[in-house]
Amino acid sequence: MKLPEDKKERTKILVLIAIGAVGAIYMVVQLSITPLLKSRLAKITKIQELKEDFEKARKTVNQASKDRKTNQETILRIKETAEKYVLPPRLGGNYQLGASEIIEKHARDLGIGLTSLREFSISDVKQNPAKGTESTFKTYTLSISLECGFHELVRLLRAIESSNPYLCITSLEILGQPKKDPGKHNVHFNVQWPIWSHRSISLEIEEQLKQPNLGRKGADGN
Amino acid sequence: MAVLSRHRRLSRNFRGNMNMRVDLILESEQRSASVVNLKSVIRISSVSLPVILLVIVASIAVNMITLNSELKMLEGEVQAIGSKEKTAETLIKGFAVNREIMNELEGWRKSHIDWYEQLLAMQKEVPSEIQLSAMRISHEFDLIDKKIPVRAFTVALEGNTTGERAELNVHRLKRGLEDSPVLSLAVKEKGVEVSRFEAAIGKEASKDDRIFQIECKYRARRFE
Repeated sequence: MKLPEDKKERTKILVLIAIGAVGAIYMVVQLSITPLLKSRLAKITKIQELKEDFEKARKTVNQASKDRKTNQETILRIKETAEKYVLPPRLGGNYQLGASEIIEKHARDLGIGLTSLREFSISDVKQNPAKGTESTFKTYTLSISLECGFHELVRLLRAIESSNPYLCITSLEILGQPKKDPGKHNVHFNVQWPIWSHRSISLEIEEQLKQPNLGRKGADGN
Repeated sequence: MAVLSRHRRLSRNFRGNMNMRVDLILESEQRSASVVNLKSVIRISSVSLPVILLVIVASIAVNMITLNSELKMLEGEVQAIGSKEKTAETLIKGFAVNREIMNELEGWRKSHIDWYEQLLAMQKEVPSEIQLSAMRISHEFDLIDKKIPVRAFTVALEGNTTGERAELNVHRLKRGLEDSPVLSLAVKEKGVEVSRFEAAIGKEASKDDRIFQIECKYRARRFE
């Protein structure tokens, strides 16, 4: 097909052809290229997310393999320390029997007579409120009364404190009785032991030792 | 008319400069001598534009195929590592809990004071002119900055002394407690103070008898 001889007519037709061509290109871009590019972008974003997820998962797995050994050692230390120094309950959750036996044994070994032993309290340990979790240990306090000389008392305290560095003498009162017997004082003191706030925690520790790869029950928040 | 005007131009040129230019093509018959003209641009564009578009679409399509396979592979890998990650997370969280338990347990050891050592150290510092009548150790759990749990201990020594040097004796005891190598490690700086010093009251008390109380405030012992 030939273009018309007349310049004006020719220009008009060329302009129409140009508009048509631009329209066609626009349609092609809108209908095929743009959706393809959008879909490509979505895929790239998804791939990026998956790569990040994979990297995060890989780091977590690596961290866990590093932590596994330390975790085992920590569990073992908790178990050993708790077995030696945390006061265990007797039948029915009785702590007084065990605590009294410990003190009485030391007093007996030193030939010191005790006047009385009684449970003083079981209470919570004050802890950082930001933690928001309950403390793992509670305190069990036994109150002891006796009449003895100063050096006898020092020996008894040394025996009690040396046998368990985790207990704490939280109160002590020594009252002289110069008229009755200046060599013997009225002594009252409280000994505080750590006890498990829930028996289930110590059972869980033992369970973890049996199955080291599983970690704690409920640690994942379930 | 056009032929006539051309003839005139020719004759004028011929007479004036002796130059001659023959121009026999009509304006409508004239063609551009340029290599790039509108027609060739249209021809080239009509072929090249669709080809370019096709190439673009094809390259995107190829790229999409590559991305699809990469996506599939990654999804498989993420799924495979997913279960391991869950186990790992459980272990890490469990480790954090266990570490917390260990720290708490260690808090008991760190906050412990060997009182037998403290009592012996105190006894050494009591001058012979002073008779102690009572000793009290008190304890409380406290929070430093409302977040760090600590044990705070206070020891109160009560006693009596007599004579003109009564006040001096009490000061000697105070200074002795402050300077004691054992006590100074545990007691707060300026934590020893005479909280009471007064005349003894009672039937048997003489004019020179004095009673006193010295308080020793111990450094807070961190519980974690």
